[in-house]
Amino acid sequence: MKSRLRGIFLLCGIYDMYKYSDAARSTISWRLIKLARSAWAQILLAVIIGLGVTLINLAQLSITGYAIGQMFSGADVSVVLPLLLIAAIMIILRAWLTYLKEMIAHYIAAGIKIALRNRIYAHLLALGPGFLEQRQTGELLAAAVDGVETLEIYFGKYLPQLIITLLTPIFIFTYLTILDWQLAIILAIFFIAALTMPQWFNPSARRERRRHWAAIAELNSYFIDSLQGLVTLKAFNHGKQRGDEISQRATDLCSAIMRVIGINFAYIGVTNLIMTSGAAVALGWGAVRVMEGTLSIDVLLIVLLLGNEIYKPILELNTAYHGGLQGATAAGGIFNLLDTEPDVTDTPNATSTPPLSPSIGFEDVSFGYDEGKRPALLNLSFEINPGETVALVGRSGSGKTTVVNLLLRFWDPQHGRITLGRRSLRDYALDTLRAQISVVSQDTYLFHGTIADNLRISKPDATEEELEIAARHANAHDFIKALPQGYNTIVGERGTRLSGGERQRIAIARVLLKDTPILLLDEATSSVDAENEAIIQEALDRLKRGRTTLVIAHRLSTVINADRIIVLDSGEMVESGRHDDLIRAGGIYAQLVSAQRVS
Amino acid sequence: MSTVTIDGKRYENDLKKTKHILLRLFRMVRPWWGELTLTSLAALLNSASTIALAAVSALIVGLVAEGTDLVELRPYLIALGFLTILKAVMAWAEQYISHRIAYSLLAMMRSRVFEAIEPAAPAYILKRRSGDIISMVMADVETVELYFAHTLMPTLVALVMPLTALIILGSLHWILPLVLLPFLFLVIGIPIKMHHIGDAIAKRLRIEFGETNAHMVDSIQGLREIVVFGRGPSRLHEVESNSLALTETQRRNSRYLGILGGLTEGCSMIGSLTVLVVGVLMVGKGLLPSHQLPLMLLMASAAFGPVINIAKVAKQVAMIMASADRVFAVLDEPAIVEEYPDVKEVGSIEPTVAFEDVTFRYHPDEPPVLQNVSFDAKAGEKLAIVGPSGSGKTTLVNLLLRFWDPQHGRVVIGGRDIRKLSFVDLRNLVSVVQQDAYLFDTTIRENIRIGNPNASNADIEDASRKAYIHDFITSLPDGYDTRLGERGAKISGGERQRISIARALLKDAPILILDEATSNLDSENERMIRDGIDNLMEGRTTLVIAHRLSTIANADRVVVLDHGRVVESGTHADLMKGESMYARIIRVQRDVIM
Repeated sequence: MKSRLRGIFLLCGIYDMYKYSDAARSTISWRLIKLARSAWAQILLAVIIGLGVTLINLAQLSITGYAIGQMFSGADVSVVLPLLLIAAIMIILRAWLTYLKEMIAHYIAAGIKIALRNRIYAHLLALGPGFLEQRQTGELLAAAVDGVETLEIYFGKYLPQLIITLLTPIFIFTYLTILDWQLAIILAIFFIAALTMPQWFNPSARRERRRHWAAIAELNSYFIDSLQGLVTLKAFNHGKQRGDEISQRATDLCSAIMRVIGINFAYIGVTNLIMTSGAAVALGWGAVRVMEGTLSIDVLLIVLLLGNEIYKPILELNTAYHGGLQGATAAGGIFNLLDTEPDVTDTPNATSTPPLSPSIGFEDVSFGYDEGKRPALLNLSFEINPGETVALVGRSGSGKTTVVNLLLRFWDPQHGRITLGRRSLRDYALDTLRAQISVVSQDTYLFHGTIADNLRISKPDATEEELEIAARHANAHDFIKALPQGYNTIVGERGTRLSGGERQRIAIARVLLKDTPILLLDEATSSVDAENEAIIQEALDRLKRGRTTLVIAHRLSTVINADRIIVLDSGEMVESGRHDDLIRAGGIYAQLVSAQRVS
Repeated sequence: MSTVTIDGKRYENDLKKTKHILLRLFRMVRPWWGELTLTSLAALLNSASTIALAAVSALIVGLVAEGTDLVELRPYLIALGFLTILKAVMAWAEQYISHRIAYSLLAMMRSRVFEAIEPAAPAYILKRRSGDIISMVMADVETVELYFAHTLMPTLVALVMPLTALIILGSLHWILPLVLLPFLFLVIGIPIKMHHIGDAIAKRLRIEFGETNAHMVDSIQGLREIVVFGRGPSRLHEVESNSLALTETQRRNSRYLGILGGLTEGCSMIGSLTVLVVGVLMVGKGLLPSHQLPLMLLMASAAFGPVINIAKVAKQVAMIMASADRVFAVLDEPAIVEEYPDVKEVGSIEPTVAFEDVTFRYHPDEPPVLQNVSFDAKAGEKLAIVGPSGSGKTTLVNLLLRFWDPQHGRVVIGGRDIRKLSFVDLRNLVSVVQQDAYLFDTTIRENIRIGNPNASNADIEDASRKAYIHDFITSLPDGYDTRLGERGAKISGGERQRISIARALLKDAPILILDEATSNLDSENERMIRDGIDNLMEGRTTLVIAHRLSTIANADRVVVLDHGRVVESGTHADLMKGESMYARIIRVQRDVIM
């Protein structure tokens, strides 16, 4: 499960969110803008600079045009050259502003990134592991990582660009109208046409884009599936056939994207044609009018030089639209996440004082993960006194792991209450609660870092000596020392892989460091693994000494030595007592114990 | 000679490596030569009409300034209209065709990648994360698209258009192109000179991105541990400082891009202006007619456009290089095992298995996983293989399926060295059944059919019955058409194993390898699996990697492995006498209640 890949979920997630955003784009926009609250001033600055660039451009072209016009009327070079010098200065100024624009975009993006990532992760912490286990990691990563990146670009580049391109035509056409209102009208007509006519392609564009996304997701997931199951495929001589099927999907993807491209390019082509035609018509007609004497040559020159400049906002608008869409989509996912309320929070009167005695109680607890599904626990009641070791026994799916999750308060029971030191779990602050309990489970997650780092998770200020003592008691010190870098060996997903038994012993060491009064233990399942088992068992026994322990038991030796055994079946407690008593009773427990034994 | 590091590999001469990769990519277009010619033609016509359009526009203005009549103007106006349409059509054609080439090529590449990985697996996959492989197949291959659709043609245009513009300028007066050239070189040269700065920053950025993201992945995947150990605030703090470090590098990147952009833009515009200034001076001296001034300015500007594009293209080349490098690395990956050319036809082979003095290590630097392992299983025999984790049991399976070859010794089936068998024949002889069998993202029916692609639906149901999974399947709402896999229905470990058994039954291979489940299952599943396996084992030579006491006790013989060596072997009764490793294992196993 841990090795699930982001890629496919990212694509499927974005594809799903695309449908969502299409419908809800209007409601998100305002909220989206508010996300960038801290950057508003900078965005405004970016807009002003962008407009400044446009204005300087217009001015520079006009001066140049005017200068050429002067040459036509035979003016002296000494008059014209200063004009061109001014134009040169304007060019330099504009280049500098272009640089500034890039930097402002960066600062906007940086602010967004920091604020948003923090907010998202803090929220994930509040939502807790309970929430996480119900979701795909890939989905959350898409929001926390890629989503934030997309939004950076959205706010840093596209939003300012959008505003600029909406305002720029106002300046340009006002200027044109001052020069010559008739030409301005012609250009305006083509401008509006260039803006609106390509929109006709939109429905088919959307449809093809969706198909394209689907084709990408299909190839992606099919390929992943093939890679992950490649050994199976080879073992069944299925490899070649699979290769053909991949080839087919790759070709499908090619066709899908060509259809998208066909429409995109038609869209672009029509826009370009309209723009170029507009410039040509304006020029042609302007030329005729100059001949007839109803237009000054200066204006014609400016129109010639402005040429396609007028239509640049439209091209930029297209790019901005795409960025906007991506931003809204990404935001959709993030809002989804931020909107989720944590199921479990600190109650207002939660105390930070630790419990007086480490006793545990379940009082008529019922709990189900989903409404309408069978409850995982039903009317469960039991007590564990301080220092006792209680073994929880039952087949897979009987509710044992749920008991652990509820004790850690990853969820709250729908009915009944759980007590710690005779006070309800809800009365304790979550931090305080978890400081009382340690867990050793079947699969231990190791973070990317050294073994020492991983051990220090439970006690950040532990000295090297303390680490070693804990590791020794966990029977882990020897194998750690045997590694080339010892305690500094990098482990985790990209580091050295340790075996299940080694990881479990590191988990035991962690717990020894944390030294809590309560211990929850999920025993390793059986494997004919004599050496490791004995070592781990010894370490676990050491661990249990003096602590209130709840063990999800798989070993006969554990249950025999437990103070009490609780037998769960389908979430209900069916038997409880000591080993000998239960065997004599001849119930479910007796059956479980005898089933696996071979005389 | 400068060195460049691409993904950890140093290249002595980066230019040579660049040329090599670009050339290899170019050669891949061979099947599409015709379309490439078409798109080049379109690109050339596009450039030509762009220049012509600018020239005609400028001339119109010039003529009108001098004073002319409609009759003289008309052909120019007609040319204006015609060129506008021609340019639009050619622009569209060039884009469309080049993208068609590009994407067809990508499809072929992706297919080839799988074909390259298949023979190299599982060795290839073992050292890598599937996430990285997929990223290469989808993202890297997609980046290579840039080469075909956005590099070749722009490069062509970037050569042709400025050349044409310079020629036209030169036809007015020879000095004009000379004035322009220094600026052209500046605009080309500055990005080239600065690119290694940009590259270094980009590389740094990539690394830091990767680390920040990996940290986030870690923080989410390990959330449970973080919460339980109360490390939330400190982890949050780490997230923040990572973001800060990243933004610092991004700032340097933005600064670089900003400076580069500003400089090139400034240079090109000043360059055009300078040509105009020179033109003005010459008009002032009466060397040139004033109506040519607009033409001068427009031609000078036209020269720069594509050249600035080249800077963008040059940036892409770095990305293309890195991606293409990774893609070629896969395509060139050699297979770990090869079929021998003189492969004999397999007649009927006796299903006996033997390992003869096999020594094997996965990697020359690693210690051997199997050392002088020798054992055999007779036809129809049930052999249990027992030993602590890491003792080499899984490796036995890998060698038997010939995913690797042993460095010493040989694996023998029916008296024949398996190296002398074809892959197809070999894998037809052996079935593997595991609890964590991989289920594909398709229907149950198709998942079972993997055992034998020629099986009919009736065959599949028959196998399911014998595997005691048929009832479960029919109890599902979609029955055999229920989708499994990552996005499909979740089924339990026991059900998964029974599907694996059904597959093996369908395949009906004479040799069976059974990798026993280690986790506990409820008794019903247990019983059905046991019965299904009994059905499966009938008449087959079976090697069981055993974890259950009952399995071990019921085997014909037991082989005990420890640290890659066979330490004991014999029947259960023989081995139980005395203090052997086997006896110790059994004692531990007896302790287990579920």
